[in-house]
Order: sequence, then C-alpha cells, then structure tokens
Amino acid sequence: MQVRIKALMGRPSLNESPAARRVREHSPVSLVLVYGVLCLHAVLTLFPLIWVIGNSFRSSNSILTSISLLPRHLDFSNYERLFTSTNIPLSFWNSVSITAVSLGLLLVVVVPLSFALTRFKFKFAEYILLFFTVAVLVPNVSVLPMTYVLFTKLGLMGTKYGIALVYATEQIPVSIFILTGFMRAIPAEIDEAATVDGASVWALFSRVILPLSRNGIATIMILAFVSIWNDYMTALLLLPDAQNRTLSVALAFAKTEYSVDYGMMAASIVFAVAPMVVGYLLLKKQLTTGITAGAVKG
Amino acid sequence: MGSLKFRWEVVLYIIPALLLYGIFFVLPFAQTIFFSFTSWNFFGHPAFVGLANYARLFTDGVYMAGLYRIGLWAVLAIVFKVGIALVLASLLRGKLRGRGFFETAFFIPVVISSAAISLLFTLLYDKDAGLINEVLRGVGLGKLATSWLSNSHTALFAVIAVPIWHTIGYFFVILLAAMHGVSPDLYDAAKIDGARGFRLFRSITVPSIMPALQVCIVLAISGALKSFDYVFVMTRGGPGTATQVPATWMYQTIFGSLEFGYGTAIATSIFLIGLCATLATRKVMAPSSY
Repeated sequence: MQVRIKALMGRPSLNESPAARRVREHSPVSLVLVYGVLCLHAVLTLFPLIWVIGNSFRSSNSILTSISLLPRHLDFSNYERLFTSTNIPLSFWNSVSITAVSLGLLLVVVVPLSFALTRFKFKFAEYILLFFTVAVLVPNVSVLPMTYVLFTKLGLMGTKYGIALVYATEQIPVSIFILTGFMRAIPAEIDEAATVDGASVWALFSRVILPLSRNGIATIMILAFVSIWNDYMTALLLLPDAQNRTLSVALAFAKTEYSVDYGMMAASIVFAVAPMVVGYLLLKKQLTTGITAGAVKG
Repeated sequence: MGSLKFRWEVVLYIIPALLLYGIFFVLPFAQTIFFSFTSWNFFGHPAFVGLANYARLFTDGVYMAGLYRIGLWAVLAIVFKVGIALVLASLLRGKLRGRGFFETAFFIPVVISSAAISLLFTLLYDKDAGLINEVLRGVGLGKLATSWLSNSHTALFAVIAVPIWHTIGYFFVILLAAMHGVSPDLYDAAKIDGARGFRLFRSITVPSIMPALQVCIVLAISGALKSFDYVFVMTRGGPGTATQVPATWMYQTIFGSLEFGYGTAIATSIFLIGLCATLATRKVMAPSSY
C-alpha cells in the first residue's frame, strides 16, 4: 500500500513526464481515432451537466414542451424561488459549517497522533498505527446503524454539530495513513537537533514538524473535505431535523418535494454542483492529488 | 516509528484520537457484530439468538437477489469503469494536443456528490422531460422511451450506469498517474523491437501498472458492495424490490421494521464479503504486483 500511495502522490503534475516527451507513436489515421474516442467521452461526461444548466434557466413548462440545449431567453425564476422559498441555501450553510467543524476536529486529533507515531520510539507505535488504519477495511454503511443507536443514547441526536465527531472519526484511518507517510519522510536528524537545543515536545511539534508537514496536511484536508462535503448516508441518519440538513440530504429530499418541478430541481443541482466544479477548476492539481491519495480506502 | 526517546507527555498526543476512534468507530463496530447475534427492536433487551440471523440471510430472497445485483454491479463496474478508464488513460499517456482539457473534463464528475449526481440522473431518466427520452424521440426511436427508473426491466441497469459514469474519471486519474510512473526506456526498448500501438499497451503498459489496476478493481468491487446513495436517492430499492441491494435492504430492515439484530447481520455480511473480495483480488493479482 505504501508504494502505491507514493506513486500516486509523488506526482504533482500530470502534464509533464519523461514518457510524454519521448513517446510519439500515432499515425494520422490512429490520431483521428484517438481524438474520436476522447471527444466522445468528453461529450458523454459534460453533456448531462450542460443540459441541466440549460434547464435550470427554463420553466418546467418549457422543459416539458420543447427540446433545446440552450434556453432562448434566460429565465431566473427557478433561482429566485430557490433562494426565497426553499431550504437549499440554508442546507448549503449547514454543509459549510458542519464540514468546517469536522475538519477542525480531524486536524486536532490526527496531526498530533501522526507526530507521536513517527517521531518517537516506543514499543506499540506500529500496533497503534495498525489499529487506526485497519478501519479502511470496514465500510461506513456497516457501522452507521449502531452509530445511530449510540447517538441516541448519548443524546447527540438532534444536535447540529454532533455529526462532526463521526465525520472526523470516519476520516481518521485514511488521514493517518497518508500523514504518517509524509511525516516519515522528515529526517530524524531534525528531531535530534531540535531536542539537543532543548526544545520541548510541544516546541518540536508546533515549530518544527507541523510547518514541515504542510503539504501532507493540505492533502488530507482536501481529501477529507471532499468526502465530508459529498457525504449522504451519515448525514441522512444522524441529522434528522429538517433545519440541520446538509446539502446532499436536502438535494435528495428535493427529489420528492419538487417532484414535477423540473426547472427547480435543475436549479438545485446547479446550485449544489457549481461551487465544487469551480473549486476544482481553480485548484485542479491539489484536488486531483488529494482525492486520488484516498485510493487506499477499499 | 521515530527515533526520539519516549516520554510520557507523548501519550497526550495520542489520547484525543484514541478516544474519538474508540467511541465512534470501535464501539459501534463491536456493537454491530454483537447485535448481529441477537434479536433486538431498539426498545427492550436484546435476546441472544446465535447464528439464526445469519441463517436467515440464506433464505431471504430480497437479500440474495441483492447479492446477485451487486455481483452484477461489480462485474459491470470492472468491465466498464476500469476498462474505459484504462483506454482513456492509455490514449492520453503520450504527448497529445488538448490533453489538459481532456484530463480536466474527465475528472469533473468525481468532485460532485453522489446525491447531486443521483438527482441529475433522476431528471435525465425522466419519462417526459428526460434527456435520454428526448434524444430517443429526436432520432425516431420514441417507441423505446420509457420511465427508466420505474420500469422494472430497466431500473437496475439504469441505476448501475450512474456510479460508472460518476467515477470513471477517478480511475482514469489513478491509472494515468501509474502510467506516468513507467520508465520511458521500457517503451523505447519495445519500440526498437518493433512493437507499436496495442502491442505496447498489452506488453508494457498493462503489466507495469498492475498495482494501480489492482487498486481500481478492489475499489470497483467494494464500491458496488457498499453502494447505498445512488440506489436510495434514485429508486429506494424499487420498483418493488427490483433495485434493492444489501445496504438499502439493511436500512429498510433496521429503520423500516426495527429489526436491529437481522439488520446488523446484513451490515456484518457486507463487511465480511468486502474483506474476502479484497483479499481474494490481492491474492489473484499478487504475483505481478508485489
């Protein structure tokens, strides 16, 4: 697993590689074929998204009566109603705040743990690491019903931020795995130099290792952000109150609440999808690296 | 494992994570396994029933059909998801004008939530307003237009197509990164020997990226096995039980009929089958990967 992850992560740019520069094996005929396949897949990938954007600017009536990719005139009424009379904007802010709290919690527990496991020599370090990472083999669906029971027993059901405890926990295994990989690459001489100078454990952590692990921390934060933001099942079970719904859950409810209101559904989808796609286009490299770093989670 | 001498204050760096993980993962996971041997309806006390819940799995028609469906799902995911991603990655392995655009475009769906994608496809599959039926009518095949998700003949395949569409880009990026890790010398040597096109793909590319292919296959299988979101949002297992899979059936058993004992047995079976499938894939593909 270690080797695999390094192969994935140690490659910040997909655009430049020795292979790319040297290999050239396309004849004109095969080039047409290659572009044909690539364009076909690009169309299959992008067309549904463009179609739904187009529909979000049309009334349900016009969607039902005519077929066109681009609306003849932009009708903003779906968006107007989305912002004034649905709980989609509220659920967007719920997602923002819940994700932020969860990421904060994850950071607070996972960075010190990785630090302790990679800088100090003690008997159980390897076992503790194994204990934390073995959960990648357990799918969330298998644990969530009992998490639901636990939440009820602890009185966390109905609170808005209780779910952050579960989100952070769900991200611990992959995060530890990736972050200890990063921290191991920091040479041990640095620790010794710092402690010889009399630095305390806290100083070593906060002034030396933490700054040096920035890239690793960024990677686990991106990965955790995407999986928490996009989660559906955990939020469905642990946030039963309508005013606490996250964006994913609110979207799924939109299906029944606006069942024949096609324009409204399209607008909700665009509202939910646009920030992620824009964010991806801005932070393409980091996001791609971050998300694929999670490939260990089987 | 580090090199500094252990000090007691280091424990303070471990305890927060240990507490969180212990309470919100280890405890519910242990309870899941414990309750799978009991009969419990959330109120009252759980009664120990031995292996009865597990025996019931084999006689539960919906569960067994669900297993068949995720088996089919996994096979289709491997064939199409891994297959298409492999083709796309090998086409974009070399130098090609517009490569950046294709890479960007292919990965876009991956950043979108499965709930949003499921809602998008609910619209796409719609009988009256859906893109697919519009296209069919447009090319004169209006007879084929149907309500894809509520027609019991098409619902399962319509559902399975969605995660495939959603995550091809993810596999594409994993495989492309692996291909970029292959030494160009290998290709040069093969080309001196006269290998071109498909031959290079078969003899150099595929064997060199076996570990990444293995990751993709394991992910495709486990993704199918634990699938919940797409099914739950698009069909809730319907029409009838035509798209019911173990995870949605577990949800129904626990939160619909309050059978926590049987439901946790389904949950445990999802975990165990996933574990076996992962180990089996590693074993089968082992010689070339490690």
